[in-house]
Amino acid sequence: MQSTFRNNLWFLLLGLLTLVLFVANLGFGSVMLPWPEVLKALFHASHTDTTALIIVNQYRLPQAVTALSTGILLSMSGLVLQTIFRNPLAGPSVLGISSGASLGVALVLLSGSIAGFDVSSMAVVGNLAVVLASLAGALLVLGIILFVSARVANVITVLIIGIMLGYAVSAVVSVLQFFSGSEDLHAYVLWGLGSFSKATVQQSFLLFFTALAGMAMLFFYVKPLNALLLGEAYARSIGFHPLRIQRVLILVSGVLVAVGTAFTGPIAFLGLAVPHLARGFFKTSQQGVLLPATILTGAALALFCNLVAKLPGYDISLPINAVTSLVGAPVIIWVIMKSRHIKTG
Amino acid sequence: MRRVLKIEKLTTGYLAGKKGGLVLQREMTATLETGQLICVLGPNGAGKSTLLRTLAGFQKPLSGAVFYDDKPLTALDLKSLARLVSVVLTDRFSDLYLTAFDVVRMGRFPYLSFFGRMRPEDMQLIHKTMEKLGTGALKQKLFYNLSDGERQKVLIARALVQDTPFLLLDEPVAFIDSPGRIEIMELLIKLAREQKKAILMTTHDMETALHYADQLWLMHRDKPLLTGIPEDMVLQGYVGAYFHRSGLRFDVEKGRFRAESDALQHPEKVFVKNESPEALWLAKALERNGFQPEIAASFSEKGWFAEFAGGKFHLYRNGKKINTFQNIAALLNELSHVI
Repeated sequence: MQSTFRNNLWFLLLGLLTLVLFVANLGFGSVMLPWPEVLKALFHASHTDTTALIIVNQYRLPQAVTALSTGILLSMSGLVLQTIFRNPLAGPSVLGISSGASLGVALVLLSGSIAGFDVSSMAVVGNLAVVLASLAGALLVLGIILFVSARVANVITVLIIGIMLGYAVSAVVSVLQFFSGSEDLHAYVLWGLGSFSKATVQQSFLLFFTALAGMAMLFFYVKPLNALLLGEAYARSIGFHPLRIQRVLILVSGVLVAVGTAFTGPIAFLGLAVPHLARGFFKTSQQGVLLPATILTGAALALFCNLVAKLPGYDISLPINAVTSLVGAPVIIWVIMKSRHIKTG
Repeated sequence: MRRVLKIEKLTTGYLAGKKGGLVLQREMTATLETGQLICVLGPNGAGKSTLLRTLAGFQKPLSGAVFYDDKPLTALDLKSLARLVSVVLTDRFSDLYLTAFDVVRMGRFPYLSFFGRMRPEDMQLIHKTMEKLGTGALKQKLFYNLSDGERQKVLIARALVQDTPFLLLDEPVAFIDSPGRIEIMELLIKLAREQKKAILMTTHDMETALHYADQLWLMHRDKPLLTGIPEDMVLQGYVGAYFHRSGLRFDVEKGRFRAESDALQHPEKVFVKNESPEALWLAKALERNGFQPEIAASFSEKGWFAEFAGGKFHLYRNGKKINTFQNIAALLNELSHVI
């Protein structure tokens, strides 16, 4: 078929783009390094300048790997959630998972000033504590969502409860913020702006392997995801158990988002916007095409946003959330303008 | 091979929640066989869709049982059920890039491997079925861009490639224009006769059901399920009784409802000579306008008489010609002035 050729072209293009952006992420930064030095450092060649070696391998490489992996994690979760909820505006944030992560982090960073000890100043322990707190908070909310979803028959109810839970958790965070000191508050706000540069080398590769594992798992769910496109009744009539599939996929995508958020903070819009971009490129609803398309697009877009946020050549960098939102919001508006004529219900 | 769907003392409805359950139909007993088209006919709210959803296994019966070839529905797993029963539902889906082909393709899922790879014979069956239903040209069209009639045919094609002996359709001809409705009903009849499928469809459209069904399952919120062939059901007065609304009565001759107090504005009879479609339509127009048309075999010397001859409508009174008219409207106009 013709569309196969078109799809392959897009895959090739996105793959190349991801590769180019990944290399660009290694080559550009606040310090200008000549390209030969960057490459030498990357492959640990002899006679490499030590500064270049440290900058590339200790800072730029983990940052690029983190951006790539987080882009993949959030985007594929977004695609899965949009498909199982059959809602174009579903995304990682709707399950209240990022709010849960925020609560965990807020408890660690902010309760210190209320209770009288200080976590944010304990450098290494602080970083790990934040990661674990974020993971714990996210998984707690995910647990509640799964507990609820086992008790309601309608997946849309789960969606609404997730959003409400997000609001409730955010309210608790605001109370914590209100009572905390300005230094802790600053640390918390910084975390909330998101960053691909906090993860260590090991952590960035942990993220990468999580992304790989997630991909492998989701490729086993392509057929049920396709079946769910026609709605739960039709899916059932062709031999699938919609509720069971929905629960497993909420669990899988929830864990993927929780892990991503733990190391980067909440990253806005990527998970929501990337699946729509992939649909726009490939003009298909077949999950077997959309899943790899979303993975590549997510990786490329996260790397692109990170590159923009770095403001190559300047000493300062922008918060990553500001960049993803500035890129993501127009995408969502485009989607809504485009799908306005679709009948819903 | 003869396949049978049997329901025994089936009670449908919704399980008791905090507000108490809702029972829609009690103790239904009926059978459906291959080669048959059955219309589940009843007014809105009779529980037709709930019955269909129960037969498809989407919801549990409150009591009683459904049997497919003597095997209880509860003993069948989803995979085997998917090879036994296919459905056409009123559920809407709105994914932007879903093509008609994508939709039909899903019908093959019960037969595919874990990863859903299509074999050549699957593709062949899909193409053949879509061509046969006149949807071959729609394959690459986006589903949401199709008309209601085209969508229904694509959904039927999806059910057909699922290759099941039983086919359940929920309101397949609602929202479809009359030629489209006839097309779909003729298609279903053909499927029952030629491919020996057992077809059950719900409808609230009495004319369709009376005209096409091999059997009616009449349903009403407060009355037991009745089964029988349409003609018997009409003559025994069941169709009238099950659709009864105050102010309406069932016209057994015409097979449809009409207002009970057809207040006749003009008590005089108008004889219409029956020999052409024009004459029948004239009688219809007279009736609607409050006259009392009577079909007559020959020219009547007494009272009002109208006929269609030589491309024109002619009106007589007591054997004397009043006037000649180009169309029915002109005749009606004259008649309402002189009577």
